[in-house]
Amino acid sequence: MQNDDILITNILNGNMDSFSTLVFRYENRIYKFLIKLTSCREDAEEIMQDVFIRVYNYLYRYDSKWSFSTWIYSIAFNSFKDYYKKKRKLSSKKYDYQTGDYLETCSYMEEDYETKELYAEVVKLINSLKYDQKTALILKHIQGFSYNEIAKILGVSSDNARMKVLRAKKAISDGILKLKRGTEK
Amino acid sequence: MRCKYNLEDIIKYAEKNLCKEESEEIEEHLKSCDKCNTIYNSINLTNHYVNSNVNYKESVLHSIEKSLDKKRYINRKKWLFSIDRFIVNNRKVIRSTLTIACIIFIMMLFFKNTEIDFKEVILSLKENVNYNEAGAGDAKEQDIPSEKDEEQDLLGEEIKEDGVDDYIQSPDGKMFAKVVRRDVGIFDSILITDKQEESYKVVLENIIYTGINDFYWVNNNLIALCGHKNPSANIYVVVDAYYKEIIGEYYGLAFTWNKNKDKLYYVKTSPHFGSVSIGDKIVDTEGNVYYETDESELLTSSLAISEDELNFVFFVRESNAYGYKLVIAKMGDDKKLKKMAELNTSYGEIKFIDNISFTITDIEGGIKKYSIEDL
Repeated sequence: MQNDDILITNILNGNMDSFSTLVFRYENRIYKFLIKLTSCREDAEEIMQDVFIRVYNYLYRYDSKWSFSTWIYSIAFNSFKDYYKKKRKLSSKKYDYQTGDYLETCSYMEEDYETKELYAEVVKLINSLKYDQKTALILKHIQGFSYNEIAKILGVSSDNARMKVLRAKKAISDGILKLKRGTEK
Repeated sequence: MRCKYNLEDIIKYAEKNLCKEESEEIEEHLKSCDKCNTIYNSINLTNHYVNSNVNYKESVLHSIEKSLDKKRYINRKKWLFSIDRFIVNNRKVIRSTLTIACIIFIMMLFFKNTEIDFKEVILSLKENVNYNEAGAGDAKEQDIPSEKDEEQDLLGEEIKEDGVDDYIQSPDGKMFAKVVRRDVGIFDSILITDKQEESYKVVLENIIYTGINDFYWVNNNLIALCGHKNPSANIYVVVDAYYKEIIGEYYGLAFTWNKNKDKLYYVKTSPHFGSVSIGDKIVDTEGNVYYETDESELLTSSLAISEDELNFVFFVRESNAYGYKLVIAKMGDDKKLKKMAELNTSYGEIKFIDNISFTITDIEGGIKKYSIEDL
């Protein structure tokens, strides 16, 4: 299998087949990232088209000292921000929670109603996070990005990236604890 | 009981980042601590949600194909991409360099403007004070206070008080001059600066001590400086700015230049020996003596000369009386003044209107006009 650098060199020499290979290689990952961010299939698909068009048009700017996956995720993050700026859906703090038509459960939850409910609440809380915290959280778990790589994608410091992930998890667990206390009363 | 584990510990446990002993401890703790258990569950569910797979059925490639310029990397020249790439990859350095360049440019503009302002200040000073009489063609009566002289005296005060803004520009604007103070009350040199901004000092040491009454450009080359050698001796110093040297030091009163500014007339006062007065003279700087008083009268600082240098009008004072007499005299062929008329009138500033008529402005501001022919 050709590595990313060979594919990129081929694309820059006008080879469109290499671009197709690159798209097939990354589209699932990018889609997963975007759908977690947007919670909406249509938005994720639209942003993904923009991501790959940008990748193709600006590929000559790619600096091989970065890993290509970091570069493509940073393009995806910027496309996501631009998309919501355009649609004015992205407020400075939070953006609208969407139910998510792809919401899945896993086998161990199927019989456990309480866990299912808890899972739905967790998803709600994740979707109500500040968009940068949510992005950091998703990046941390999607490809196991290091805080350094997350920092590069978000354009912040490594410590700042770590704090964003931690704050996201704290906000979720605090939200669940608050919910539980409310139910008990 | 307060729980000893915090969020980070639970996260580490959930993500299996703890050693076996620590993991077992927390596992045991979770059985009994509802709060930590809830946190653990929410972390687990968060990780599960973020990691969960999503089915993506159709490749994005089909939908973007039309938007791609397939010949983008074939048709375009690669060096254009290289330049663009260089700019993008080095944008921080380029931005910093441009910022520094802008700061330097703004600073250069600022200092340039400061220089212009300085020159404007000098020009406005010149306009306000109107030191130079050369262009106006007026005969100048130095020692009779006039409105103009008052302004000059004001500037004289400025020179004494502040040696910074007392530059005076020559009539043609090519040179500047200022008096430089060496010590309190002692003005030791004139600093002359030409257009090339080269400065020269003309040393005045031991010439003027007690003050400067007047300091002005006679013409484009000559600077006059009027002051006191000591309280009882007036001195008039002429400096050639072009050759940077003192060309004359004259003791006396009523220094008056002719029209062409090449001859300086003045009243040379004689020293008094006790109560005995020897007599004063109207002279020029070439050594000619045009008029000499006898011991009964004294010349004053009020003297005017017609433009053709033929008619002289001046006040005399009788040595034994307090009154003034106006004397009208004509230049003879022998270069001596011949008294044509004497008039008892109030003392004042004499000014020629044309070659045969003049005015006298008395101390109270009253102006009387006279014609030599009538007298």
